[in-house]
Amino acid sequence: MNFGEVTLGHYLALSLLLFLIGLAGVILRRSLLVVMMSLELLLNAANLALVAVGKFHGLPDPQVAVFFVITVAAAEVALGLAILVAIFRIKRTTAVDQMASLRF
Amino acid sequence: MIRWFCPEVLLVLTGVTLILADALIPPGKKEWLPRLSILLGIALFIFTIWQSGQPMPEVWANLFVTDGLSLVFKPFFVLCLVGVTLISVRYPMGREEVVRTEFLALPFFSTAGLCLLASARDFLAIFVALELVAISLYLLAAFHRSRAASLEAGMKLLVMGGLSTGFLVMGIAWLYATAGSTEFSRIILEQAGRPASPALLFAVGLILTGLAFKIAAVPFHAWAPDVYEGAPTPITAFLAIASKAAGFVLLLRIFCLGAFALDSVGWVFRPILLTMGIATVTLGTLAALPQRNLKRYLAYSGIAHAGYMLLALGTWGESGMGTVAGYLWAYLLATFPVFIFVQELERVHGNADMRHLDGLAQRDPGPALGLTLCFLSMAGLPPLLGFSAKLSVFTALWSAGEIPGLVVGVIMAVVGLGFYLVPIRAMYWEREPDVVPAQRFPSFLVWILLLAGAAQLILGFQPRPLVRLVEKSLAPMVSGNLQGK
Repeated sequence: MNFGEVTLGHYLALSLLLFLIGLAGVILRRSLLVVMMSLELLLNAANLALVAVGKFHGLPDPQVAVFFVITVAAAEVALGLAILVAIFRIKRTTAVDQMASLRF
Repeated sequence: MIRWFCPEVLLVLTGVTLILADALIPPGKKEWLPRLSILLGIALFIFTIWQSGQPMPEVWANLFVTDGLSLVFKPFFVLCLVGVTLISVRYPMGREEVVRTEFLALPFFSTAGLCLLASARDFLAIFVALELVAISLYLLAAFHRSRAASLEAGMKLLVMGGLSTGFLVMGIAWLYATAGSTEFSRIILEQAGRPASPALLFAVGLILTGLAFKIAAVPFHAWAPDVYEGAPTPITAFLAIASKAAGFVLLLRIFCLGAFALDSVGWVFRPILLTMGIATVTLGTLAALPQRNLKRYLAYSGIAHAGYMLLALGTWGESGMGTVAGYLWAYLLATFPVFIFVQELERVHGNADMRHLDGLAQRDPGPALGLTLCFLSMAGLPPLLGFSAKLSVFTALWSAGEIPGLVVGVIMAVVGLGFYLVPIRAMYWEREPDVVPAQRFPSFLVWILLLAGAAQLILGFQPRPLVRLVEKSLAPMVSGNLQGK
């Protein structure tokens, strides 16, 4: 069976879908660990879009941009996990709804 | 030769120096480090001011430019840094007292990112600079590790910051897909004179969403009060002033002079910016009323101020742009002294609850007077500085014919007067609580607050220096734009 050629539109649609899944994860999930995984998904959705655009338009810049995004995402997650460990030491939980010391 | 020593390079070098000094200085002499960092910060501020008089060439093929906007806001950011360093030194860290060099060094890195941001004219450069700012700030917000609130603030900032990064990167990807470049001048060249494609508008929307998180505009404001309350006070001040200002500098650069300063984009995004402005002003003002914690209160006040600046931005003209630049300076001068006071309040009482203000005027008339002037200036009462700032917003709205924005802005300014009177009433009319702590505020605080109050008055009567600054930020902008092409 032939579904026709895979175009830029397909990649962009997939990346948007992944982006939305990531967004939903950040908003809805209870565990901070999963929230951070969803953040990664969000950034990787953008990476997919960047790579696809670079490939289909023949541009090198977006593909270079991906390396910047990967580096930044790695730094962010490293820091996030460090904070998570510190939170776990104090509260013995990583559930989002336990993060309620800041309410008026 | 000297042009390579732009503030960014020096800021990073200073940060590294501080960390190295921490490793090299013997343990008994560590108390020199805070003084060293303050001295270096002040030296950098003087250098930045001096350098803003020097002509600077463009480097890195338009990725990094020096124009009016960057010349006016680099000193702004470095001034914030000096203020933050001054109060970080006195932040009561508790048992982590020993390991605080990073607490002093990281703001330098963050400020380097802010200065880079003020000069960047390419979305990729903006992305990297924003992350340099943001990642340092996540760490700083969570720095007080023994307090759960501080850790939560760091975590919330990280999740929200990550979300905003996601939107920004996605916007950049779509920008590549439609315009083929992220450099402002090329986007303008590519898109000028054409109707904007839906894909371009989508990209602009994503980028605007990413930045709306940074300036805490409605509906992306929910993180601000929590993070401001939990983070260490110097970092709260940095977030509330420098980080917010950075968002606005970016919005100015993107919508007023770079990338998306196109009629086709403005046609869609002007109403959006105005609507966001109206919503932000309304929510910030109304939600501030019931607050009982000074840091949360300042967060909502900051949200309201962001709303006024968004309204000015929504007028989409040069006057709107100058207004935002002036408003940011006025905001810095009125808000920073209050944060300095909040930290001293926390040192004495352990938290920033507003009931500690009760009867302050009888106990400490000096700080009470300075604070009152700052609060009234934030409220926009004539003849104080904040009045000129608000008036210029309203004038810009009037001349652009944006009547709904103007009406809501004026109504909320009046309502806002009511909520800025809450702390003032507490200071002057409430009775002093029975349990009076023996400690009084240090004398330097009295002087700083009185000086700040006097600045509100003097600049309110004679706003000439600020107006000149704003004109400076406007003047070379147009030519800088042409050079870009």
